[in-house]
Amino acid sequence: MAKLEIRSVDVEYYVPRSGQRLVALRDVSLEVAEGEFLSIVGPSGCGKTTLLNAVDGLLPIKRGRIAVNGRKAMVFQSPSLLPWRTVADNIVYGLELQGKRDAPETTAKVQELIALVGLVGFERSYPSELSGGMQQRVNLARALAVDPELLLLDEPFAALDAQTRELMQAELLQIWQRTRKTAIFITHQIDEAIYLSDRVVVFGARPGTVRASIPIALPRPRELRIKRQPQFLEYADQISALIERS
Amino acid sequence: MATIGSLDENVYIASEDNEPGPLRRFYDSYYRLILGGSAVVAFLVWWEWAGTSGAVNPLFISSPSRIVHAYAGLIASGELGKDVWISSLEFLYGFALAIVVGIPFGILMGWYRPLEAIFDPFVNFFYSTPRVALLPLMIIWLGIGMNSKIAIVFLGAVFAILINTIVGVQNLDASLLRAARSFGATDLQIFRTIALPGTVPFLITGVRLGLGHALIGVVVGELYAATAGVGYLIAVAGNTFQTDKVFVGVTIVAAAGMFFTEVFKRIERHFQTWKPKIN
Repeated sequence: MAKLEIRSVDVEYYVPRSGQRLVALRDVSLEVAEGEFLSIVGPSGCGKTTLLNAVDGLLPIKRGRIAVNGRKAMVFQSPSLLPWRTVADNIVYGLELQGKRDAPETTAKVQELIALVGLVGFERSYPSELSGGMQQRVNLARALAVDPELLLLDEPFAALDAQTRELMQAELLQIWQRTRKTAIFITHQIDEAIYLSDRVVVFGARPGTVRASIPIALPRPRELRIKRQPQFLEYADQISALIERS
Repeated sequence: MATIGSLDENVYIASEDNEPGPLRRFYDSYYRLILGGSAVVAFLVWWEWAGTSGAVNPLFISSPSRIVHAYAGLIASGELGKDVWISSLEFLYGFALAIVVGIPFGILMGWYRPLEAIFDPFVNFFYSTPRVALLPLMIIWLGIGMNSKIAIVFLGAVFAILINTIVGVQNLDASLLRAARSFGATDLQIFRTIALPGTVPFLITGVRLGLGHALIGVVVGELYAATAGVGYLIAVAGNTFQTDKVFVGVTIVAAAGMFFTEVFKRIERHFQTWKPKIN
């Protein structure tokens, strides 16, 4: 059974200023299989984030059907950490909201996640004391803490510098390799999408809709230098051609 | 081969005797206390000299020793204790009421925009009016006893608290609210884990600002019409040219103001430990 099924979904915004309805997504259909890492790329304003918000239930859909089979958790574009909580207390936040803060396994789990995202020694630091990359690790750990079966990642590395970004991509891949969560990753960087994914979905703009779905047949585990291989570059050419045409 | 110019002017040599001495270090650590304290002592000495040497008529400026003497007399007669007690009660009741009303209403008005739109004109009206202008009304309604003063203290403090709380709630980080919703937070959980801690710094600032208004309320209220209290003591002493006693009242009010301001500064600092530190 697919972890996520999106069938003929339309999302519309009402724009109060002009009194018009803006169609953000039209007739989007998508299936994500268990354990699959799927990226969605497309020009900005094509509704990628809108789709993710709709899947997360933060946004009502106008038509169609979204079926999530299992728990989901979102990693946001901005770290969205509570500034008055330490790293450990931020990671436990999602669990706390779901009434599991005092569960016997929680402390060990948080410790394990801190190690997983490489923040050992920073448990008691406040977000303002961390770099942007470290804040995003906390953001990721907070999502992983609720043990989601579907991980939604909304351009989590967009605000990072190029070097940190590559580092985080490699690390995310390692973490994914270990946890094998079904993941949907939104980005507008083509190489990021190819490097991480089993499949890249290309979105067209206004209204957003699926243009193409390209399976990435690169072997795993992948290292960063795979980005310079001819097969990788072919994928990149193919995808950027698709985006330009839309 | 090209020659490189002299770089001598960019060379720094470590010197061994730039280590400050113990006296210098002591001064560097406590210079605010040393300078401020000396200035106060110098002022008191000058005041004492001016008041007792006959340079200025002590009827106008009194002197530190006369004020201490007046303190002793008022404490012995039990007058001062009673006045301070009455003023404290008025202040505490009014201020506590302002906190109990201001914070929940501020949170509600910050959270629900229509509620803010409805009450905004009234809040604006009262916040723009010096609340002591309402004293005659309070006395008509509540008499010259403690109640009219409690009302004035309340009115003085409540709007600063209310407005700051509203601003605090309205400035909550939208991305935090979204994250909480994404994890399935209920309204109550959002309130407890985001709205409340996120507003605390604003809330304490409001309370600290309200404090000043509340003190003005007590003193002016009692100056205007009362039967007891520190303001009443100042008024009666002033009307009978007892400058020493006037200063007793003034110093008590000043001490109370400084004490509470310091307390709230500390509370504010405590709640801001998570804020980015500015070096």
